[in-house]
Amino acid sequence: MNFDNENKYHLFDQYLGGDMNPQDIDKFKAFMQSDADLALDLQILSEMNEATTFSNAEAQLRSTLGQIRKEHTPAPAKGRVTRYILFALLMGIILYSCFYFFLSKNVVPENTLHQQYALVEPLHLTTKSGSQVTDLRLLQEHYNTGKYEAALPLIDRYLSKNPRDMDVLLAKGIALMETGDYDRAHHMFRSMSMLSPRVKKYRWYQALLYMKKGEVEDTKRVLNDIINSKTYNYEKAKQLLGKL
Amino acid sequence: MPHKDKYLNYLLDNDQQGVAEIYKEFLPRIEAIIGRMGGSKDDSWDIFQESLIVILKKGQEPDFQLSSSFYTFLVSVCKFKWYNESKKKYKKDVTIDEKITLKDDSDILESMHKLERFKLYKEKLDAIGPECRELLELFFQKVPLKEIAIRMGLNTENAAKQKKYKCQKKLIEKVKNDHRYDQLL
Repeated sequence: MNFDNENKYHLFDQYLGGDMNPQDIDKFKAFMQSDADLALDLQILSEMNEATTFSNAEAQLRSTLGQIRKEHTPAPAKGRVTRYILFALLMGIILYSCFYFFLSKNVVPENTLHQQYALVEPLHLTTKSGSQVTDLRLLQEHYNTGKYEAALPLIDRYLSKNPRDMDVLLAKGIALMETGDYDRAHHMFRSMSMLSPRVKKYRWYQALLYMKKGEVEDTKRVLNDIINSKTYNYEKAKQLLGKL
Repeated sequence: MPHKDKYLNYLLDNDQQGVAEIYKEFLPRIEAIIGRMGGSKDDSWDIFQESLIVILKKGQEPDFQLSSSFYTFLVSVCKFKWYNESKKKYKKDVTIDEKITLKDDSDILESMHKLERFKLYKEKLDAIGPECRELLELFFQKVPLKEIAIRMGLNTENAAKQKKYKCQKKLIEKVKNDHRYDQLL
């Protein structure tokens, strides 16, 4: 085996993946000691691995702490409640005025349309086999209650063991879309088309993603595809297209 | 193997009732300590939460053992955190009211730095483009390269490997070029 800069990434893979024999490990360590910069590269990759593993436990603890915090935060005092109600009323009036303004102009804003149509189907994962039942239950709970930030690390963990689970891949795309990570959501939907060309459910959410991004032409194009191929939600696609 | 300390095990197992016990038992005392050092209740909550994350990380290390009570350790981490955060947030030095005498002081600092590095990696992962990010995330989650190739629409396993190398290079460069990285080593 060559120990030089040319194949350093290959060596990193072998070392970090535990695929190096003891003799090569000694040579590799000597090679690393001779170049501090290279040792730093290895440290970054090694810690990235560690960070990925830790992120699941971290997200779970944060979620638990957040829930406990919520349960133990005292309700606001009476006087403050009145102020909150007044504030809410005022906001309501402002929102109503804005809504009226849009309606009077006969325009339905795209984000309102998104809210109308983006009714995400709940995930039913606990029926799936596997040893991670607690994880699945938590994933399902977070996802189905709209806590997408907390659900994402659990989704990743599940997908690392079940990389072709189309339901969960779709859930990841939706979670990314709902958390505003549009590029990755788009990429996720695109990769689903390569993984299983016959499953078209993701197309509907792809249309919603384009709509959320304000890309009306692309939204129309995907909706037309859905209608023409009579795939998932094509009736809804017709309605939505009519409103755009 | 579980630790001797029940509170540490609650964190490691993400035991909801146990974590609630930590919250009720220790948060008021941490609020008093941070309050004495000039922090608000909100500051205390942030420090408390972040310190528990540091302890979780330390507790996951195979040879880690608490050399003091959980509370003493938590207080030390909170004080370190408060000291660091105050320096960053308020651009001022804070006097820690009692001398921290734990032998694992440098360990705490190293763990805090490591978690900061993790944050930096995540930030840089976001900055190398969605395709590279997706590919590296899959790789770090131990998804086989063959599977990654399919998911990413790449023709062969070797194509996925070559792309991975390019993405790793990009990520490493971005991390090393960030001035914060040197301070976290």
